[in-house]
Amino acid sequence: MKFEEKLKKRQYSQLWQEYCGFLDLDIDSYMNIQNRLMQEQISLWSKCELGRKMLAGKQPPKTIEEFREMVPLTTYGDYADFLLQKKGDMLPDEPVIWIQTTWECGKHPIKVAPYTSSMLDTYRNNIIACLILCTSTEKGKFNARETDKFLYALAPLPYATGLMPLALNEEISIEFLPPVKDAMQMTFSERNKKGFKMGLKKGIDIFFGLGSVAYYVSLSVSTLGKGSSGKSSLMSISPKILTRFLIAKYLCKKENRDLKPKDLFKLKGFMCAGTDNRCYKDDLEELWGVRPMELFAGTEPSIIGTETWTRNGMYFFPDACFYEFIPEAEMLRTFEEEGYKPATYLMNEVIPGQKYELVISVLKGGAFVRYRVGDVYECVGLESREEGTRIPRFIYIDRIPTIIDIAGFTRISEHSIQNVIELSGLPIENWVAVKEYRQNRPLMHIYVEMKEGQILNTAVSREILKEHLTIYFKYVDSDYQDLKKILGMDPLEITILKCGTFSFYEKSTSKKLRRINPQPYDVMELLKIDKKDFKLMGRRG
Amino acid sequence: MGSFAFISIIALLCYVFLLLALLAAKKNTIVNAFLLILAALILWTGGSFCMRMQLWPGLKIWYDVSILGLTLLAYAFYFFVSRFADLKKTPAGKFWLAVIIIINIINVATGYFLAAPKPEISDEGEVIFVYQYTWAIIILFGACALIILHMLYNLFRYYKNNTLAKGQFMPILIGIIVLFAGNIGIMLPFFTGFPTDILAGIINALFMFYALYKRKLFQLKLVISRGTCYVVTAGLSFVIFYYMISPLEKLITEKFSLSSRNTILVIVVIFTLFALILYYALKRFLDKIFIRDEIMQAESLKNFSLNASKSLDVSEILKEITNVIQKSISVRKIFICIADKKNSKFEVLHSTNPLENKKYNINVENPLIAELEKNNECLMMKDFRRTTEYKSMWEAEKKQLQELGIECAVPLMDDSGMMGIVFLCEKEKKAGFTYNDIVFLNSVKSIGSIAVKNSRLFEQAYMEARTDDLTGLLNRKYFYEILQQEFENNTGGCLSLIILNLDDFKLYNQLYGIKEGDNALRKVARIVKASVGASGHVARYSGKEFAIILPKYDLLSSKNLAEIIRKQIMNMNRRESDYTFKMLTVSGGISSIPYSASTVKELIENADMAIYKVKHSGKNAVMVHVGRNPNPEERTATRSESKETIYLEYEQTIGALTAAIDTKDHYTFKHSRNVAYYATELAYGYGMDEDFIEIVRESALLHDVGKIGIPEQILNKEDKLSDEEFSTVKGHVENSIGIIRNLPSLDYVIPAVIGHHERYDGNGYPRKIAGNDIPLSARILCVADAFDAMTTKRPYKAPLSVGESLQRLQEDAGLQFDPELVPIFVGLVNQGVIKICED
Repeated sequence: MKFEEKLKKRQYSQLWQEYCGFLDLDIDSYMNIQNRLMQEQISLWSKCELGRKMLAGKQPPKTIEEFREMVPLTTYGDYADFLLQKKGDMLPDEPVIWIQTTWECGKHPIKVAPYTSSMLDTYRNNIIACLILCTSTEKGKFNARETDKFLYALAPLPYATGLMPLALNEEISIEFLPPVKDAMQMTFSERNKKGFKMGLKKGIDIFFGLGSVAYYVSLSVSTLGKGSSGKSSLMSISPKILTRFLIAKYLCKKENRDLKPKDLFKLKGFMCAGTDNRCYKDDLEELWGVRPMELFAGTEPSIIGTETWTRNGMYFFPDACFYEFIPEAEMLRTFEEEGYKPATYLMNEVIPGQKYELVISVLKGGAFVRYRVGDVYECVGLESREEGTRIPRFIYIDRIPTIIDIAGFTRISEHSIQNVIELSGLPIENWVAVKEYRQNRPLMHIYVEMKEGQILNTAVSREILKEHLTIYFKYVDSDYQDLKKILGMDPLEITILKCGTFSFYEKSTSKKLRRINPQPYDVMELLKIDKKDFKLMGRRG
Repeated sequence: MGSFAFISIIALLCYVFLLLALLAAKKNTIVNAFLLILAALILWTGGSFCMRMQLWPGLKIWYDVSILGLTLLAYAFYFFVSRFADLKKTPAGKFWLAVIIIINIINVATGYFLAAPKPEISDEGEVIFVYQYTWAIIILFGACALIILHMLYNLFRYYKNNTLAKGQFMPILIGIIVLFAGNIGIMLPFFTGFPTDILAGIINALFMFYALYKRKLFQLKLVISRGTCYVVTAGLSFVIFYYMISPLEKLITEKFSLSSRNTILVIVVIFTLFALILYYALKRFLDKIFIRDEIMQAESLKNFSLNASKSLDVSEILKEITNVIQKSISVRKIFICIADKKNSKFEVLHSTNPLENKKYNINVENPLIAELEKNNECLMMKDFRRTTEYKSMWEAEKKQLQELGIECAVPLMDDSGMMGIVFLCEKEKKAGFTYNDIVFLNSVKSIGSIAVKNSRLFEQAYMEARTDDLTGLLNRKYFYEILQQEFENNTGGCLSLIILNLDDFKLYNQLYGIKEGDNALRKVARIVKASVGASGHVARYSGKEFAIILPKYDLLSSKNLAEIIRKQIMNMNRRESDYTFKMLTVSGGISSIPYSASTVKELIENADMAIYKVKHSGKNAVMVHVGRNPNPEERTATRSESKETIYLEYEQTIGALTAAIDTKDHYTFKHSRNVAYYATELAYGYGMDEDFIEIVRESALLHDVGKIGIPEQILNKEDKLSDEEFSTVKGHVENSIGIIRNLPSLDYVIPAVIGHHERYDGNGYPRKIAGNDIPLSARILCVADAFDAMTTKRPYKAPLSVGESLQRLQEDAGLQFDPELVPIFVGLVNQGVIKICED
């Protein structure tokens, strides 16, 4: 029986139990599911070509402990040979669909991840759990119905986000705005415009988007009714929304504010995904009157976690991936020492207040094992009295420090910045890039030191540098281009440091600064040195 | 018949009611036959009623229908009786049916036998139907009468052979008599205008219904019977209302002089009450008469409980479980999985379809098991799929359940946990499981769990008492039991015994450790068991010995089997990638009834003997014990040469030991040699084979080796020995065993040595065993030992003469000596075959 039929039969409590029952698990039962499914995955993986190659002739591991001992942590590069050529028959199970995303800007154009049939089954169940939870106001109570209208500000297939409407539509005939088939042919802004236009006609019950995108899209509501094009679009608004619109217009004028989406739509559920959501959540709540529920999904791990009705931290689904956690200190050490093998901990070993880098092994015949997804989470509690849960709860922090992700769009590494600098031909001697926040919005701050000998014969003002580098960033990374195009963001900030600052820093601290996201105190130290007259000091010394 | 038309209507309703009720019942041939009777009655009564009412489409058609009904009724009766009495199907049945059909066709077309009547208005103004009879009517009714006569004949035949069935058939007979009476009644002037035939038809139908009820042939759904009640109540009420309203109205207005408005009210109340009472009466009737599903279920549960408690055989109980479930719930397939010995998985032990692949098993870690264990009640798969536990199912596990088409799982549990699971597949016609089904399954579960638990405990205890822990083979105790059983079962036939003795197993244990030794024993057990299969019984006879009982095996086939096993054991460890080559070999001895033994004891002894022979000849071989030689002289010729080759190896050990005796006590040395001579000669004389004789010889040489440990002053004491000294002397037997036991290659002489001081009457020492319980070799030794002791001089006594000594032997035959051996010995001495050794 499909979800929709069960809904029609009003089996609400059974539905809650079926899809959200994992929230009632205690940690032992949770681990039992994890361990059992991992055991299955190990046996599938050990038998396939990929597994055999990774084991390099060793006997297949029999237990999970043996597996963790034998198999090193992996990154996409370990799979590239198999996956980029889509060698499905060499994987633990035959994939039914390949999902695509950007690998590393400027270096590798794309990466693909295989999804097996049973992975998709799990995905479908878990996405329904998200749907139920996003409309819930307390435990066991939810308001998802088959007649709901779903505004969807995410990319279509072959991107992971495109799976969601397809999977949902297999179980429930929710109407997506715009319809999935049409959306695939449209550009991002066309999709948003069309979605809203349909929303005005039919109403919007559920909204799902990247936090940043949702915010941008929401702002466009305020332009409704302004200008001539707005007038014509007003004609197609449903009478109910038109009444709301007119009342809201009146109130806005009275309160002297812009029109907000909450004036027009009464959302049942609001979901957001991606990075930097915490920068947007408050604003989104203000705009829509509903706090977005954050969920975590990625190309490689599929959908792995969701918040609940409290919007107060995420829980990982027990059946999507097998989770391991690298503590922050261990993670940082891997950036400093090449070849260092960090310790990993399991879900029943995490400690509240600790930040962890996530390592996943995709279950149900997935290809990735002990895979460093590149995301950092913080454990915020092992149980919650409010939600009645007894499993660890996490919040999403950011990408790992060696990657700068702005608003869920870019994936900028040291290599990509170096590439841009080289292409730009600017006489930059040394640099560090730091992700910073200004007015609660993320930006990339690059501190540069110019080549001493060339400053005289090149124009290198801060603006020139910024313009120059922005152009090259856009050139090598289409995602970066989208930041401007879609969100209207210009996230680059340049600070020029005095010549010799870096070398003095290295000399005085006797350590080399990490180029991407160095520790905040190290950056402060660098800036302090910049302010000092170190050359003089150097001579004296 | 005018005002009696309601009788026809009531009759019709009755038939329709029975027909409807029976249509809902579970069908079998008897019920079907009864349905045919009802159909015939409906055609007859209905046709005739409609004809009299002159209803559309016309008199002729209704007349034909009624004649068809009437004639078919005869056949239906015939058919019913044949089915009820379970008579063999004969062509007569088909013939009668054909006759009926042909008569009807002709009559419909031509009206030859009896034409349709013509309606005429009688003098009283009523419509009467006038028939034009011709002689041809005899054919019509004659055919019917013949069929009925045939039926009566059948009935009579069955009745005669089957007195028990009298009670069952009585209602049918009465019904038929009533039917006849009714048809005769129609001709009586007293009943003019009253349709006695129709009334008789109703009574007949009720009698037959009763007969069926007595045979418990109904199983009815309550819902349908309730529906039937409504229909019949409505019909009957309508008919009665229709006919009774005017007389009742008349009665009320005349007797009670009520106004017409009140009259209607009273009539309405009366009829409402009447309809209600009628409904409840009918319902009660149905409830009483029909065995409803629930009662059926309760009944089958009761039977199941009874049958299950009677049996201690797991497979039988599992069969009972599937039977009871299938009887009450129409499921396509049922599997029962039972936990294996290690409790690591549940294996399919029984399925409703014997052709079903039983290789499925469900791992104990399967989340389904945990879920069943948690709730201890019947679990629907569709519910299980919605649990969080289902999330941890492996794809392969999900697929397995799907492939098997399992829809419902019922746990069999006891206090210690799950013992098994009953899996039910889809119900027929894809019907879902009802609440009643689940309640029923839970009852089956409770009874089944207890029964399975008991039978498993019994089976376990039974196996433990009869099997060897290490190897899983029969233990020694049970081996004897089985051997005795097989011996009794195979009197006159053949029965072979193979005993396999692992060579140098002690050494193997020392080299590779006891654990490895145990592994080897397990492997050997597996090999032996696999080779023997179902053709015999395998037991662990002693620490390193395996015995195979082979009923109906002769010596040759036993030897072939033993050879195959020996070779397998020899190659057993060859494949192992071990550094050391753990070679293990086996010596086998075979004996067979009747070829080389005639009693169980002999069978075992002879097989043992054959092993000794192999052990002597270099181990790792199989030998057959051929038995006693009827011509001892022939043997003598072949003996000495073989002796040299076979026993050379042991000669040295024996030589060394006897030399030791010689140094300590020359007399004993000499005595031992003498005894060896007498004993071997006696053994030849008795007809024993060369191997036995060799064992006797060696035993004789060593029988007093224990005297090394006895002080010389006691041995050579001239006076009578004190009690203490005598017990020291007696101790030489144990001493001898103590010494020989340290020589594993000579352990076969132990039975003779330990028994040579036993007396035939049981008063000897050390074991005080008597008669044939004393090994033959020991009995021989005893005679030889005594004879030499009597004829030689000792410090404490003078020698007796040969005559005296023989006399003593004869006197003590049956007391100290074997009465069978003494005459042979005496005879051999007297014949001069045995020469007297010089003192």
